[in-house]
Amino acid sequence: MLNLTLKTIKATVIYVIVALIITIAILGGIYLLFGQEVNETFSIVNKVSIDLENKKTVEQTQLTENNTLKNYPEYGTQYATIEIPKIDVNLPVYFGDTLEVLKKGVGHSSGSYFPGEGGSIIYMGHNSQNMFRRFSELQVGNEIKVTTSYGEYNYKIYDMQLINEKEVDKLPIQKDKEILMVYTCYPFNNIGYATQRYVVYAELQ
Amino acid sequence: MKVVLNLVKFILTIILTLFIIAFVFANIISSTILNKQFILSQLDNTNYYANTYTAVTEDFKNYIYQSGLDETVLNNIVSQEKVRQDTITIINNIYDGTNTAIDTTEIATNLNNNINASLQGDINQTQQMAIDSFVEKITEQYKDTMSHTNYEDTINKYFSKITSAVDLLMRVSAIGMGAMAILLIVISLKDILNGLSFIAAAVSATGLFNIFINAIVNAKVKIQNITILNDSISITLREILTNVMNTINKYGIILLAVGLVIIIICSIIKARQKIKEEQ
Repeated sequence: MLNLTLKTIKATVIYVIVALIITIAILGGIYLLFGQEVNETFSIVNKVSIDLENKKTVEQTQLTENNTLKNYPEYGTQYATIEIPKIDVNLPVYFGDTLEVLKKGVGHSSGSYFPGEGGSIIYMGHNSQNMFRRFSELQVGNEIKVTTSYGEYNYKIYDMQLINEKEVDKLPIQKDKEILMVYTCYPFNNIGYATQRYVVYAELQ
Repeated sequence: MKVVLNLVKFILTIILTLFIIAFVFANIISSTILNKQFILSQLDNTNYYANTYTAVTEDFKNYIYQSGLDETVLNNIVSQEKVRQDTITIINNIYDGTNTAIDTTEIATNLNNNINASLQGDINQTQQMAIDSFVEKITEQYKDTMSHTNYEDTINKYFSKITSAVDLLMRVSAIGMGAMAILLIVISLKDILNGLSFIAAAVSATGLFNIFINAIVNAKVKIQNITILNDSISITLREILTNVMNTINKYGIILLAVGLVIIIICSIIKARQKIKEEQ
């Protein structure tokens, strides 16, 4: 009986080792042939994986000495408030410009600079009653205050402009001067879909 | 001679394993991602229709803030049943190759009626143009939320090609599997049990391969964190991927067990034969 068991185990182990060697050989072969493609696929999938446990918080965002941000705010999170005393506006500012973001408050165009970085900043918001409906009352010289988690920035309005909705993408993005551009839909009390945008330009004080 | 023969058997076993792996994966893809009924059941399991209905109505609200219209104009312009029907239309377009467009006439009519009732008919020509544009935006938004038009076009473009490729892979691998198994038996005619054990080793190797693949993917990708387009799509996609990985693992465990059982049975018979010969 012992002899039978030993011989059985010996024969079984040989074929199990064969199976194991084949598995490792195939996995190794795949890695050698397609390793880069496999890693790229994992990387693409992980880009759309939001790790809720390790999500950065806005408290980690800091302005470095050379005027660039360290740890940018997470897309879709609030990182600032905007105050426009002249029209009693005091609203949260979110990083992002999706409709979902604009439902919560003022959006920050992801292609523009952040306050303190010394370039063009683009904010946008709806023209609803509790947001930018009173934009028509703004005048040159009025103040806009942006309070972020890393500092407070005061801007003074120097111009206002009416543009077509398709021209929003052409708002001047530059890095030589800190300019805040805030826009909303026009006409302010329209009915239906507004195809024009009212832009307020303000420079850092 | 024996060494050469065993080496040939080993090489044939590797090729057989590759064919079994190809067959198993083609089969898994065919019965999950490429199976309309599987996808429809996943949509049911993840409450997709209700979640998409919520996403659609939320997207509509995004437009109302800048429209100057009361939020009530959006009341009952679309029903959950309409969302369900349109989702099935999109699935049919993808899986059956049909090309049925999503009909938004009902939404546009309901919305226009609600707006007219809200404004009590006091609309000038400019306002009417803005309202028409608003209604068009809402219906376009509905189509986009339902089908994510660009993605649907891309999927439609490649779906039939992928289905044909998977079918071909399944047939080729089935023929290859049969051919390799027969070859292994033929060259092991003097020791059939040895040939069977090599086939079983290939089956076990496929099982191990599946188990390793499942472990590697789970270590590298956090499926439960995948977020694409909106909540309803993300939840359903996570569920589909989890099911596919579970199926791969399940096949792996079954194949490993079946392979091991055959190896053990062959080993016992062989050991008995040897003991008899020694006696």
